[in-house]
Amino acid sequence: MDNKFTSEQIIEICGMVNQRLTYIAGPNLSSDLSSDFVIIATDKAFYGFQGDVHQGFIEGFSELYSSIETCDVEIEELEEARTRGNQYFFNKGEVISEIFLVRDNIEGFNEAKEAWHYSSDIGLVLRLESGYVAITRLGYHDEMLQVSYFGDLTVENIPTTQGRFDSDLHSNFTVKRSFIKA
Amino acid sequence: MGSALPSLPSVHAKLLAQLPKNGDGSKIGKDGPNRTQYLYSDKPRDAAEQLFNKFTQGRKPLPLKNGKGFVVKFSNGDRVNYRPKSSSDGSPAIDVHIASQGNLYKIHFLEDR
Repeated sequence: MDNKFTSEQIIEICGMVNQRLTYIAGPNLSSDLSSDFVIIATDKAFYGFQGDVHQGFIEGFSELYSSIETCDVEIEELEEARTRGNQYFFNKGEVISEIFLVRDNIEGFNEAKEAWHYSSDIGLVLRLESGYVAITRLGYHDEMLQVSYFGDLTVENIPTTQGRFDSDLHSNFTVKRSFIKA
Repeated sequence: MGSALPSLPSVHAKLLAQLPKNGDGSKIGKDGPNRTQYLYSDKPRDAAEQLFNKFTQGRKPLPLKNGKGFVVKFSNGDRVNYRPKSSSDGSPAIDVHIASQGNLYKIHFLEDR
């Protein structure tokens, strides 16, 4: 099963390229920079990202799996973020030159044979002039997103995504994380 | 199926440890068909809300933008979700994320049979 950004969402995300980052915000984006709803404000527009969950059948049983999706930004939400002080101006004015999708390919094995495969976009990374900012899912099964800032584009700099893929004597899984230029 | 009980003595781990256990005491309630643990009660909704209130420790739950429930975040990275109506079987559910272990405990509340 796949759980990826749609073509329409990728086109929308790519709209940020060559715009200048103004701030990152969210009505409930407190100083730990985690929330289920994150807004990227540029000099041209506002881009909303929302964590959601959907029922899926991947591992041989029905389970809730999370997704990150683009969404509209309401004026009231911008105002809530502002009045609560949940706006973050790091790297303000820097040009967004590239955008990468963060994709996890997870394979589950039973008795050393591949039993299931799950490909999922866990977030996106914006390349700025002096570094990177990422919005990624904190879990494979809930709505929470994490904003993170870092200097080098490496897998290790993306916050760990918490999951419930259990390994035991008979079954295990592997996670391969990659960056895909949008 | 289901996650074994946490060993670290965080407040949330202690609360989890106080819940009814399965036969060998290793897991909460009864095993569900996936990784869910089931707790039974005369009033599942009330039981779920009472437990969620314990987990929040006085913090204000934040509504999720997708309208599917509430979340409370803690400074140690733990977070607790409450879904009044889970999408799988419609029962109220609480998800407890223990950040230090990367574990998720998913508890559904069903009516006593």
